[in-house]
Amino acid sequence: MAISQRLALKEGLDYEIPSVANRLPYFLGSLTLFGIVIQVVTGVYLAQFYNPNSEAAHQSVQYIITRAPWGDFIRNLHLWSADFILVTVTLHLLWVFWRGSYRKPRELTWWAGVLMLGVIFLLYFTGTTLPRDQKGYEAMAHYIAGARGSGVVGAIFTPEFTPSVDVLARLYALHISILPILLFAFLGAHLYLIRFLDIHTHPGEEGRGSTFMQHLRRMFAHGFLFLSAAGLLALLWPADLGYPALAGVEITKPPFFFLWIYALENWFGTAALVFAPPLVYLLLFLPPVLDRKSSTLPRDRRGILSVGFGFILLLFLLASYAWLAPAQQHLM
Amino acid sequence: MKQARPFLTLLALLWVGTWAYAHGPQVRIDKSTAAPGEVLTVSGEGITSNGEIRITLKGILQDYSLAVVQGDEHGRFEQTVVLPDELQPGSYTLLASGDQKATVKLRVGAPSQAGRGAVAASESEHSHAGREEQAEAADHHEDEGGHSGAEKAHEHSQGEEGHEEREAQAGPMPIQRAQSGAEAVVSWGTVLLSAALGLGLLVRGRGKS
Repeated sequence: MAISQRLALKEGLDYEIPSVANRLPYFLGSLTLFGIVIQVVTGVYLAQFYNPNSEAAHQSVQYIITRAPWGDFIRNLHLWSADFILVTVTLHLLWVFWRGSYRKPRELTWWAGVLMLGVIFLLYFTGTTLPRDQKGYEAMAHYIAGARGSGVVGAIFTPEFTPSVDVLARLYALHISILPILLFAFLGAHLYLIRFLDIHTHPGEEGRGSTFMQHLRRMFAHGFLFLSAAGLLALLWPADLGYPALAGVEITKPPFFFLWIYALENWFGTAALVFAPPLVYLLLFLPPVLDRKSSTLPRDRRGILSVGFGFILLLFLLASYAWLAPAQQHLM
Repeated sequence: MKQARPFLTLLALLWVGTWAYAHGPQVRIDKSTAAPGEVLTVSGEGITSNGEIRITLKGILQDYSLAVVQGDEHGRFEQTVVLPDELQPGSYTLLASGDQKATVKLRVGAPSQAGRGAVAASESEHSHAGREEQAEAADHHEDEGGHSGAEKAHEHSQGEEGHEEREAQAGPMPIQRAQSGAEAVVSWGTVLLSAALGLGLLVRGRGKS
């Protein structure tokens, strides 16, 4: 009670919300947020032991796994949470898309969310490069090939731009500072807009049967279950570490969420690295622009829903093909 | 004579092709494997007549400019170069470029692994004809068709003492994971406590609503 009064919790948090907001799909965003909090806490701990120097990075990860106190568990928690976040944020995007919650006046909320999605994928990608194992090294090589192929736009990301600093160190700086700052900036905008534009409802769902405090309690409940599930997987299926990287070979594949790019690379070479991800990402900004009908009911939006989910299916099929196909050389 | 004409034409074309192949751009190095910081002798011909020839080492992450030399009237040159100290072990392509281009593979090992090997022959590349010809390498173990179905790629380096092999592997490295009693208690405690808190809040929330 005393804390609640001092933090003005009643005035700030005890407001009415539609009771439909307590359904499970409405917690996908908050699950993602809890995952991000777990990443920050575990990431700060891992940063005490990780060395971003190319020659020492792999050994420092070995140290984390074998000797740092709780290093193995925290590293596995960090990696499993990252995988969970990709799943929850994708499901969250699909749910919002299905509901048509990007419509006026919530366009900016959608766009802030898409910007966060991009940052989350960049965080995941930069994280995979840090162990400096074979997979991480090849990921970094693809990053450099993409930067070089992007001309003036990508020049700032190439090794030639900063010859005084290792590429790995720059990716590490992205991972622990620049991208998290961007993420929390977009998150702040996203949450502010959700708070003051209210939860989107369909006709008949407007009933105010709940408060945000009740919703918040459930958010924490799901968050703790998220932590428990990630922790359980961290203990039962600890993440691997690949062998130290050998330059000049390409024998690994990217994580599943990036495999669709790999499939396109098999057919179009490194040009796919330069054009495909930005094109697909820009498409995510279009729904509020293209879908302007008055009704947000799924049955009234069959066209855009078919296109959207068909596109997701296409990406899934591309990823599946790349997963099944043998590894190929793209860069040399 | 008329019957022999197609045969003679073919013979002439073969002779011209052979001459062109023999006199096409080539580059050679005195070692097939080297270590960072080591000195190599690079030689070649048919690159640029009486002009500038650039010698570049091309890697998967970046290129290294090793030297710029002057070719003679036949585009011949010979130059000693020093490999950069920061080179990572792996497979590189040494490129001699000017009016024409030629490449040769070079393997870079860790400082204790590299040694003198046989002279590596070159790959010729006629930039105007767009034709590539594969030369025979003295120590050729690369899979030119890519790594289809392969989980491993082999990089062989010959030391003075004998063969030393380093493999690039896609799979996980075996690691000795050792969790102390205290670590196990805290880890499992975190999992169980989180589950209890989550379920407790859910049940309490249902009770209140």
